[in-house]
Amino acid sequence: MTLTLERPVTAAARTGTDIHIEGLEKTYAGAQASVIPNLTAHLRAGEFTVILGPSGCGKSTLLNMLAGLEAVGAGRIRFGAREVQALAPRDRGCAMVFQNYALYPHMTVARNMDYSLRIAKVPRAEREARVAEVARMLELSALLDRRPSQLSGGQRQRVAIGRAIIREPQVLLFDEPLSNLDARLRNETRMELAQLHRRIGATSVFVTHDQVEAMTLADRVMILNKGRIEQFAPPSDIYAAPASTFVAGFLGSPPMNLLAVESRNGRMALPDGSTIGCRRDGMFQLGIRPEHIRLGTGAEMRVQFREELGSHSVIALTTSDGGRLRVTAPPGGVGDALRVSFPQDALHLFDAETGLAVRELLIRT
Amino acid sequence: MIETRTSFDRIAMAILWLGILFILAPLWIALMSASHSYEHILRNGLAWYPGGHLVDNLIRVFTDTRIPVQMFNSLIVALMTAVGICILSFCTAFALVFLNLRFGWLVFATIFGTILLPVDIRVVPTYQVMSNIMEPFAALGLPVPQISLVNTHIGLALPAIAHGTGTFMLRQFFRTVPMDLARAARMDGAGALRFMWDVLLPLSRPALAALFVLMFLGGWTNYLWPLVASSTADMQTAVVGLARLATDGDSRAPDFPLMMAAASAVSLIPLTLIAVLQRFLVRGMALTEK
Repeated sequence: MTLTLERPVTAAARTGTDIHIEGLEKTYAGAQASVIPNLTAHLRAGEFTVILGPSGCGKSTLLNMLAGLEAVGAGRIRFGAREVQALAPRDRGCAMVFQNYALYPHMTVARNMDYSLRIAKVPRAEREARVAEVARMLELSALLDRRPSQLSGGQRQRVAIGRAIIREPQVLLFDEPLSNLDARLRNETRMELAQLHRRIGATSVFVTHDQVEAMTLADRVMILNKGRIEQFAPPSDIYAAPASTFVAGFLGSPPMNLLAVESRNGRMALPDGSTIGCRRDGMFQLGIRPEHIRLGTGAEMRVQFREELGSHSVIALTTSDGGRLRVTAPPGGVGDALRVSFPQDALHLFDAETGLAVRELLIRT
Repeated sequence: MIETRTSFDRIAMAILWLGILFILAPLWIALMSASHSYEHILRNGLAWYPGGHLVDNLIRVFTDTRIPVQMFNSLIVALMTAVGICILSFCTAFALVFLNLRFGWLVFATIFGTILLPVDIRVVPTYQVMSNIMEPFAALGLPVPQISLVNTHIGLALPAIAHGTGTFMLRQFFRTVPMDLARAARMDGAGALRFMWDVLLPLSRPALAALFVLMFLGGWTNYLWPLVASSTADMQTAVVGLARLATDGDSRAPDFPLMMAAASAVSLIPLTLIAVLQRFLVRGMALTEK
């Protein structure tokens, strides 16, 4: 599908709005711990933010609170200058795309899309014009009289998006909208979404547990863990400099290797046999991405197993102290053992207790 | 099918046909006996074969008995019961599933109680309530008039309407409706009632049709409550009237052909309903199983 849009839907839709989240808190009745203890963040106007985290990290709760589908425990949410946390969803100027499309099965595509306009008592002529425009933009013009059951998964997804953008929302919310599509369609739809966002310009918040979606779609990724922001930064920053072991272990495929190391008298012995200077003594977690490990030189490690992925292979090695180290290597067979070394500029260092990055403690030579 | 061998199929079919015969035999006897004269039945007992008096007997049912007006009563009561249950249980099930009620479980347990305690086993207190529905207020010392619903159409239907089966059925159905639909409707700006009317009601049409058929049949065949709550022959329902036919004669033997003709006539309306709405009935059975 190619997106053709001669003019933006309207001026209102072209410009998103800043989202300020201040001291947001949510605790469910009967639960001991808060889903979201205290969250403050600023999502810039027109930005595409992906909220990423494992299930149960509070990402859906956060999205629902932004949408108004769940009451806020404490704290404030502002869309631009407006405080919205006490408003009903319809008064917030936001729209949502749901995981299972959530199209009304008994309504046609056109009715599905203009239902919100009907409720808002938009005159018929304007409704029809807007439906036609959104349908053209999403290539649904030929399908307007069909019912959702007569559409393919990708088409339903587009209707769901059409239903959301027809109201020209300042804030567009996505609740794992791609998780129901098959792998090929997911790739396509992901790219369409990215283009669409650029054209519409609404501030978009996209919840997912899929790191590929996060990396490809986001201007900035908010990584949530137990309701706290672990890191909120552009994808490339998160990849290059994860703020904690949680982020390091969550992002990347395969994820970053984390190895326990100890620093004594300002020096730290690394599993590859080399040493590196460290400004503080004590226990640390050393991080290195599988794709950054150099093969052929350094310490010899036994091969545990190998996964062949076509373009490359992932090899699991056993370190001298029994730990596991994953490296990516060109495709093809390897022997029983491999020599590996760690380039100093690819090393990450995390505090063993807090899990926070302490990269600056390393003395690279 | 678990088994596909033809011999197994034949045995299964044979058992099925036996079952059908077993069920249809009494109906057959009723219909055949309805086609003979009183004297013929007195002499020969119930008949297995057709006779020539079916039309005469049917005419007698419509001229000599109260069955026609009682069938009308049954129709009114069954319709009120079915419509009442559909409306009431649609609303209660909606509240239970889609509204966040603090004591929803308690409400549901109470409603469920009406399934465990049908009218048949609480007929005396139900009669007491129906004989003066203002009694609770009177007991509080309020100056209220006495209103009796005994021997009225409403009084015949009301206790059957206050029954949880429909709520239970629709609750189960509503729980299969994706929760995201309700959330999407809220995002679209629809309030709870708007969602109920615009989205849930169209989606529930098959379920409601099934519920309607089941409850209509229940209302039509109800016996004990209409027997207790109707005191005049003109307010009795057809099923009660049928039973009364057997005891009408004092000295002479019961008029079996007349009774059988009346029974056939009374079965006609529910039979037609089943034939026409069979599709929904099957779906309704599937709903109750869930």
